Amino acid sequence: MSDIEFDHDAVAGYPRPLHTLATSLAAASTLPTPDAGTSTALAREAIDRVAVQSAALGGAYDDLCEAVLFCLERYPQADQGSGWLLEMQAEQALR
Amino acid sequence: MSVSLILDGDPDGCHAAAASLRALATELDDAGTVTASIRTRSEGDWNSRAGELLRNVCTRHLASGDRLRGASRELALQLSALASALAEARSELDRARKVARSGGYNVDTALPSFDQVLPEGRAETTLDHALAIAARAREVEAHAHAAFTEAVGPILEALTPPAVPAHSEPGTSQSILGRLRDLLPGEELRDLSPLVRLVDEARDLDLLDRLGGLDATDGLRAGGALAGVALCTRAKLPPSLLAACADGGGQLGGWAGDRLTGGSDEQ
Repeated sequence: MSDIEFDHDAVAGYPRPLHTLATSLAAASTLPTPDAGTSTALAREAIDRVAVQSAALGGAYDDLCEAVLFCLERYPQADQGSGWLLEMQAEQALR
Repeated sequence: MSVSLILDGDPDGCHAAAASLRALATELDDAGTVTASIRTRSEGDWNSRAGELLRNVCTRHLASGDRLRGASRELALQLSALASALAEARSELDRARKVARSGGYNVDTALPSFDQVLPEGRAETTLDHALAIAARAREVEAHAHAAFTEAVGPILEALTPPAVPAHSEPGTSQSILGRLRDLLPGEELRDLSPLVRLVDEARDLDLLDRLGGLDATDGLRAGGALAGVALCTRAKLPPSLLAACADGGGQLGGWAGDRLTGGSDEQ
């Protein structure tokens, strides 16, 4: 592939830990809301924000995993002429 | 007026929530370690603009994870402090109940006030003691809530901006790629090889580098224009038609881009 250095075997090791991260974060983002007396509403708001944003980060890791899988699938198909286009697609996937 | 001996709040529940937040912070720690490792390894494994974008995404996720981890740990700390103070208040309220009972008062959920049980002007040491203990318990409780409110404000502030890039939604890169694959008919076109061959003939125009910085619609518009130019060249059409070919290809690409990104259907 022209002017693109992509070690397929090495990059193939990325998706699994990324997927594991996504799953772990999704599970850990389920947080209980305690009865904190008069502070319950405030505690709930803070916990909800942490939970929602952590779950979103898990989703973002899932997206990254999918993008890397896409690249792993497509890069080997690239030749001297089409490498640039697949690279452009990869860039879109990783934005 | 009677004084309640029931604690408002559940210390055990607050401790449990704090433990969950600490567990989340640990997961975020692990995520940071893995992400930093992939970012570093990719410098040797993946050397291209797409590889750079991968590292940029890793950097963004690391920053988001750091912020969330800090907020989780701080919130856990504050919830634990609140739980401990509430537990102390509950213990004191229990003690006030026991002191009152030791003085012969049959109390359960509330202490009677002096004017409910004693003739005016007469002191009662045991009830006075119990009421003082209950009042201190309520002070501990009030201070705990005030401290919690003060500490959580900055945590909420830190969590106000989006801590992570938006998850894939219609119009973002991955959905565009997916829809592009769905839109293109047949395997031959789906692998884009005819377009690749066509556009490859236009590489000498030195315009291709400009495509990388464009969004999907403009990228397809530019790609369409280049394809039009390449087609014109391959078919050995007169140079006078070059502009028309580029314009037609560009319009077609722009139309496709608009459809893919959910924009206007107009050409």
